[in-house]
Amino acid sequence: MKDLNDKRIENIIKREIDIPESFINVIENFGNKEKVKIKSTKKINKLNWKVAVLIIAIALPLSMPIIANTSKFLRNTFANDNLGVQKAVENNYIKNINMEYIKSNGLNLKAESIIMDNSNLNILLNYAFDNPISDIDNIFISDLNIKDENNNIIYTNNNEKEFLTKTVDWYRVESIDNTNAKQSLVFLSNNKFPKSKKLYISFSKVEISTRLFKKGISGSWSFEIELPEEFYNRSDIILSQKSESKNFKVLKAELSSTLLYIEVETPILDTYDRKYLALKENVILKDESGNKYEVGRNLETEDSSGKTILKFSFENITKYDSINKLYIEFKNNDQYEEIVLEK
Amino acid sequence: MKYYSQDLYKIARSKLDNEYDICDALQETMLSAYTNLKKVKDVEYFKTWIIKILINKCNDIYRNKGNIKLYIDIKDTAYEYEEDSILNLESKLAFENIINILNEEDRTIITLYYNNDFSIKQISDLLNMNENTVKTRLSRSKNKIKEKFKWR
Repeated sequence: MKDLNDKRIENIIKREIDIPESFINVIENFGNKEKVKIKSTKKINKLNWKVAVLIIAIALPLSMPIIANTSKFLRNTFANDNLGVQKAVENNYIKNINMEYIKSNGLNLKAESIIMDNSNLNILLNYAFDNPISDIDNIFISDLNIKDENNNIIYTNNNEKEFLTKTVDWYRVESIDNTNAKQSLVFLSNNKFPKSKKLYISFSKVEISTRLFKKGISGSWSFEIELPEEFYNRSDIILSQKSESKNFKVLKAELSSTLLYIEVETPILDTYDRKYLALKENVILKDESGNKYEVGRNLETEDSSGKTILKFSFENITKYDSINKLYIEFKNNDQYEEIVLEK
Repeated sequence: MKYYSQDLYKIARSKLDNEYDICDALQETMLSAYTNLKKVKDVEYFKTWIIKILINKCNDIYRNKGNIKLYIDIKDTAYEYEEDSILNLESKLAFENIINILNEEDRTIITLYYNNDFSIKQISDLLNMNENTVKTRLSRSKNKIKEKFKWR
């Protein structure tokens, strides 16, 4: 059911906008195959497509078991596609929780594993149903609340309140059988999650979707999770800038259990420069052995006091990588600058 | 195709910032649609089908250029809005004002939901995303918009 704000958004979004002429030209000129050929910028290699199909046909069956095992491993360790979280798990930065099922209205659940650091909070939930349910597609907790012992609100569906999560991803449910399923919830912090000793989790509405029907279950589920000392006494490895740079000054470089977070100050950037620096290939991180790391999924820019602050993270390098020195290269308007970061 | 130009442009714009990239994505989409047209058995699904192709082409371009989200600071614009009455403000707002508040994934969800009237399920299929994630993102985006424009 759409409310007044839905209607407001809909009205605004549905308004006709001015479309660039170039866009209309693409549609109007499409009939001219010559133009299509010339203008297409797709960078497909020139390999004969039959050879490519043959290679795929040979390679795919060989790689299938590896892909299947890897994805199962990732799901089970609830790291999903996050290499940083996966590294943390491999280094035992994970708590496996030993708790009884919380039972309410035929739905029993417990938390199985958890990871919490400055950036990531991953919780693996285990659901058990009194009555079997086949082909579960989705489970959604619509009024989830998570807070800690100091009343820091980690996450809430009550949008009137400020909370510390930027995004939450509900990963696909993995059905074990008709009465058991697992699901990983992944929370990314706005800034930094607090060094909580205990998390209090509560909710009362769970929506289960199968291929055939949707079922809402009301009940009362609340439990607490004691977090291990290594979570709340966590410390990051701080790196500092060891080289001069004309345009870039590192404000923060912190290696945590799940990622490397960097804040860099530059002279104010215009939109073009922002976009240029936002391209993956224009910010490159290298270690002493020459291994390259790509910027992860977040890059934010913020203007303050005549400066632009770039905030970004590398999710494939963590404090478990035994880093002493890193080199970060910025390319901007054909200029190239390198910054050395050291412990 | 011209009939769909508003819809297609808004979806491409929700995913890509650069006009050339948007045109490239459209061109790739049309090429792909043209060569696979026989696969569309029901005309009713043509629009959904072509939107799906467009989203994939935009994703390809986005990935090649780097999967980094760029947030544009719109504080100055928001300040001007405060001077206006709510009604005046609403009449001045446009698609760009809405999507500039949001990140790339949320922009596309909002566009598909409000502009194209797709259901949560359809969006989840189109974006290959869990339905719950779509719901959460939709709700977060709605609240971001509400806060930004000081709606109640």
